[in-house]
Amino acid sequence: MRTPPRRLARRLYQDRWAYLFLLPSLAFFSVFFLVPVAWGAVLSQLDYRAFGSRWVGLDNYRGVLSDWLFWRSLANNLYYAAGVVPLWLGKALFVAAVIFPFRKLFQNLYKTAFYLPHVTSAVIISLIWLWIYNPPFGLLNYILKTPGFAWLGNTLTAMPALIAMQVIMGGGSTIVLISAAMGSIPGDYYEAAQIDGATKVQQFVRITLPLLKPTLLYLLVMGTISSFQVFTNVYLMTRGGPQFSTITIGYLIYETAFTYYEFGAASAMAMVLFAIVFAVAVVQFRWLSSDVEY
Amino acid sequence: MALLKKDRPLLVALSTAVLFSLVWGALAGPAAAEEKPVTITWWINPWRIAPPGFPEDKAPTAEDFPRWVSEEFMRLHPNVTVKYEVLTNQGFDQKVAAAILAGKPPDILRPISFKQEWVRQGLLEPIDEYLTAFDLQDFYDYALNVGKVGDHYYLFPWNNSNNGMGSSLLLNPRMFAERGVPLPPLPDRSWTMDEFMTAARRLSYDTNGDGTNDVYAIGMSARMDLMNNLAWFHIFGARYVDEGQRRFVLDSPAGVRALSWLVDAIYKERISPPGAEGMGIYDVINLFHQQRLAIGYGGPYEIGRIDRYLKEGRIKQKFPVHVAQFPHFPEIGPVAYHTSGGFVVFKQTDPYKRKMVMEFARFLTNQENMSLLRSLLYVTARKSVNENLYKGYEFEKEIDVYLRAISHGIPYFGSAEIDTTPADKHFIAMLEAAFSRTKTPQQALDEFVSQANRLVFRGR
Repeated sequence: MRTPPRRLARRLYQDRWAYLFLLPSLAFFSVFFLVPVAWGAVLSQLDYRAFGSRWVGLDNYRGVLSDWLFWRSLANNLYYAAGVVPLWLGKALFVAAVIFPFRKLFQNLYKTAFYLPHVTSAVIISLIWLWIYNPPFGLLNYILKTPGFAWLGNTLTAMPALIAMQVIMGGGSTIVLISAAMGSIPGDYYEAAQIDGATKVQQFVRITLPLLKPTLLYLLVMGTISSFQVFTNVYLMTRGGPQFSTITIGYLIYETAFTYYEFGAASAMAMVLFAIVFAVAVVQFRWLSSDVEY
Repeated sequence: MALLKKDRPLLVALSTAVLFSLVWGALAGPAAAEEKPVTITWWINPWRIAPPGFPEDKAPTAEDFPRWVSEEFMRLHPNVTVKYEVLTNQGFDQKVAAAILAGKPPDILRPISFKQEWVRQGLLEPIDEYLTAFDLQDFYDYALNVGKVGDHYYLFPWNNSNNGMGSSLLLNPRMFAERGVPLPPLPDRSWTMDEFMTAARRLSYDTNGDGTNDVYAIGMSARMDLMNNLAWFHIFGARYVDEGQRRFVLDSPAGVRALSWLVDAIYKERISPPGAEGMGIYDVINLFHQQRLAIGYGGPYEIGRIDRYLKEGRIKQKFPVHVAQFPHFPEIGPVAYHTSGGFVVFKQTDPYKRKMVMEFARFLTNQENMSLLRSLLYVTARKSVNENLYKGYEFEKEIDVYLRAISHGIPYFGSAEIDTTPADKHFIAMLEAAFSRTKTPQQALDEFVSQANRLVFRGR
């Protein structure tokens, strides 16, 4: 049914304050997100030159999709996301479940401790882990008594090393979010379950997890998106090596644009990444949100 | 007529005045227009050069030289304002790329490395007409050639080399003495590969008796500066690209021998620490600074770096350093990396501003200002400056060794006509594969050459 223009105008007028308050946020979102994305879409169809670009249509996309390194980086991205997201979410859920029964003071203490790496620069964290993984004098080799082993120089261990670092250091904000969501679950459910003789594990599986599903879905989608955008760790720790085993699309975009000055090709990669992440998010919502109550 | 006769002097005076004003207008007019205010933007990465009169007990900051030289130029040209900006090395290329992308590059830039792509994209001004006959004879050919694309020059040469990486080695004479190993002799500290290997075996040893070496002669790393790794290949007679500049030829028998030697240095000879596939140049520099390597990489500038790190507390113990040549095979002869850094001028639309930007570039690279590079122990790109720059100086012998080393210099990456940058990451991947022994040297090199040829020479 079509809304008559007069009714629409009246509704807009009625909600004018809401629109007014949304306007600054919308303006910032448009200027810093929508416009760059639209410009990226244009750029991806140009042979970009600072003075005098040339329209090349879909040539950049053809070039990108026929480049084995792009597909390699995509596969690495999937590997990274498949490693990081479940482990990081599992760790956050486990920690939140363990600290939740504590008194408020101890809960906050642990939340702060886990949140601290979140406010530390990713550069600093990467540099510390570079030292941990350093072959001749790194902490890990010292503990394991494997001097000289190059964790970041071996094709089998480089990506797991990056994933391990991300899982160990990440999850601070996730723990806070899950804890907050746990706090909003009514205590009556647990009391009823206890009366029925449910164990702690059964309570967690049958009550906590289902009621956390909206939060977990949000975290899963956001975690997957950020995993596809991984850049800093790769840039600082491996530069995509060894033998391209850790090259990710984010790093490849950076290299294409800022090392080889192929802004058009880099924008085409960025648009493909955008489409992939969008599709993954849609699939996750469709599959996992079927029995989520908001 | 009578009136005219009477007023003749007035008429003559008026005519003279009109004529004078016309001539003045014709001659002085453009000059006056030329003195319009001009603002020059100049970007440079950190160069801690001490300007004239700088206190000797203080360490110069990255701001001191650009501030001083900008003020000097503005004093000579009061209508010009130089706005300099010191960019950190980290993120330098990204900031320049972003400025180019936005269509607002600086007027003059000291790039970390000269990018031919900028010329191809029409971003740079050719500087040919601003180079005098004296400049052309005074700048080293190799320095001018770094910025030569086609028939034009695009780079005002300033400093020699890239910290000496790929050109010379650094020796820790204390460690040599402790192990009873003689240093290669002056004046050129040249040594054969056999002499080097004899020394290297004795310089690598186990200090705590656990059966594993803790001190090594020299470090290898896949993610090291390309120049250092390519130096080892060139020592064996291998070349990166062929003489015709048509394809990569590093998979030659000499190249395979070189890469096999690099791998053997780690696993067979044990003169280099394991883990090279996961290390970078700063890991190797740190090991040298910690005196766990007796031989490091670089030229005289690296002696200054040690001094700076000491002042910053990053190194605890001062140690002496000597410059030496890379080892060589007598049948092949010594070899070193030749390159130069300098200033590029981005496209200008206003002819007068172009003239003043070029003037500023010339000012930066004149003999007097170029000689300030001495405070960094840098060799300059001018023959006339280098002649007397280090005479009687504390590090005169080291500079002399370095100059002798680079007299054998060649451009490792072929001529400036080709841009081998797209192959860089595949070169590193090749070394990673060889150092981790996931591929044989022959396999790793074949794969590299195939990829590199596809990326660089496709369509040529």
